[in-house]
Amino acid sequence: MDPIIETHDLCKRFGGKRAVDGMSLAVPKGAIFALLGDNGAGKTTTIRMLTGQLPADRGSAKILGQDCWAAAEKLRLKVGYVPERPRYYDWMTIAEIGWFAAGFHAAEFYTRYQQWLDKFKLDANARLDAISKGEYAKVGLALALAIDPEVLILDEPTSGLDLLVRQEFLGSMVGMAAEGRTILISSHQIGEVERVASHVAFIASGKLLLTATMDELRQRIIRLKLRYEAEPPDAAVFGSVLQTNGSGKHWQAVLQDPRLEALETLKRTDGIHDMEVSTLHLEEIYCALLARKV
Amino acid sequence: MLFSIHADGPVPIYEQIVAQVIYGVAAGAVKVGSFIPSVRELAEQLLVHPNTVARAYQDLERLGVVTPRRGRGMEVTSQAPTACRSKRRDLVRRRIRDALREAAASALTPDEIRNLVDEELTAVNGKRR
Repeated sequence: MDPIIETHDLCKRFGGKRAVDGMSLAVPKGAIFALLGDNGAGKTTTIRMLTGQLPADRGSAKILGQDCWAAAEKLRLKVGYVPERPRYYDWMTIAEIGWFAAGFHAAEFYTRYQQWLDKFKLDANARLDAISKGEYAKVGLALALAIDPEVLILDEPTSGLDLLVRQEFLGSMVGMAAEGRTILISSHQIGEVERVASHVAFIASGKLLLTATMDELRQRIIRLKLRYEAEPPDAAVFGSVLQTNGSGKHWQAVLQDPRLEALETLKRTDGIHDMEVSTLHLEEIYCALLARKV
Repeated sequence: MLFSIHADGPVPIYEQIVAQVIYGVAAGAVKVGSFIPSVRELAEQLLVHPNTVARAYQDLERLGVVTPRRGRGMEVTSQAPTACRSKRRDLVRRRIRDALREAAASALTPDEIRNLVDEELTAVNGKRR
């Protein structure tokens, strides 16, 4: 099946700075795809190109097979988008902003908007300047969902929200994926998306460091720990080395794409003891990938 | 059924779901003919991707623990208790074997080991009562 969102060698420069540098991503249907990176890594610039707000300098960005820039207007009817810090007309009530937005969309927009308000337990008569940050974020999500989007793009949707609201938010995201919607979510709170995501892409300085499904990731990045008698092993034999360290006769390495036969041989080598292979947290993987880059 | 999932543990989430359903059936908490939560329900409850739950349910179906009922969800089969108890028995056997190896490595005699096992068994059964 063709990916729902697909970029190929996507590039964007601001002045001399490469904000996005050769980004190639593929997001399949029903995925919760987490775009992970620090502030300034290129998440928002990528998202702005995907949502047709910014043309690419080079490469392509497509959603549902259509070019994100050339077909931006058409895609707007199918792609729900919540920016990092949405701002609406704050003197309006929650109902009024929905009614206002409905003017740009199909007839069912407002009915669906009201259904999402109910689901999120939002008071339609509350003024936007009088509601909490979490409620404001939910209004943004309700507006994005009211177009009944096939694709949802959320830029740091949970930043600044309370824990309970964040959990509710993640819960509704899971529900949307269950309905077959495709979700791209950017975040620098890595631990939080670890459970819900089906796919991840780690980015830094505009570059893609690694993209994989969550299941693949467990196999592709591992930690090797052991104790040696004479010499520590040469980590490069066992895969692409992200990190090594050790103290005394204890030694460990974080490896990408480990060579399993080489590890089997190592296990049987004289003078190597207590060898252990384990998986890493998403956060540890991110740190290890960054450490190699520098 | 109560699930407790650790996203940061060494065991993949779908395996944790499979293991907990098996435990629930073996312990009698999940009855034959009852329905386990839908993929969507459980995904929203645990905050995990629906594909993860779907994968666990496929495994459970393959093991003969549940069977899909059109429009109603996944039903616990009549052979599930036997299958789950035998799975649990295998697991417990492996753990006992590990403990016995450790006991042997600590130079305990078979009689000492048997006494220990009897004492612990009495203690556990006593607690249950």
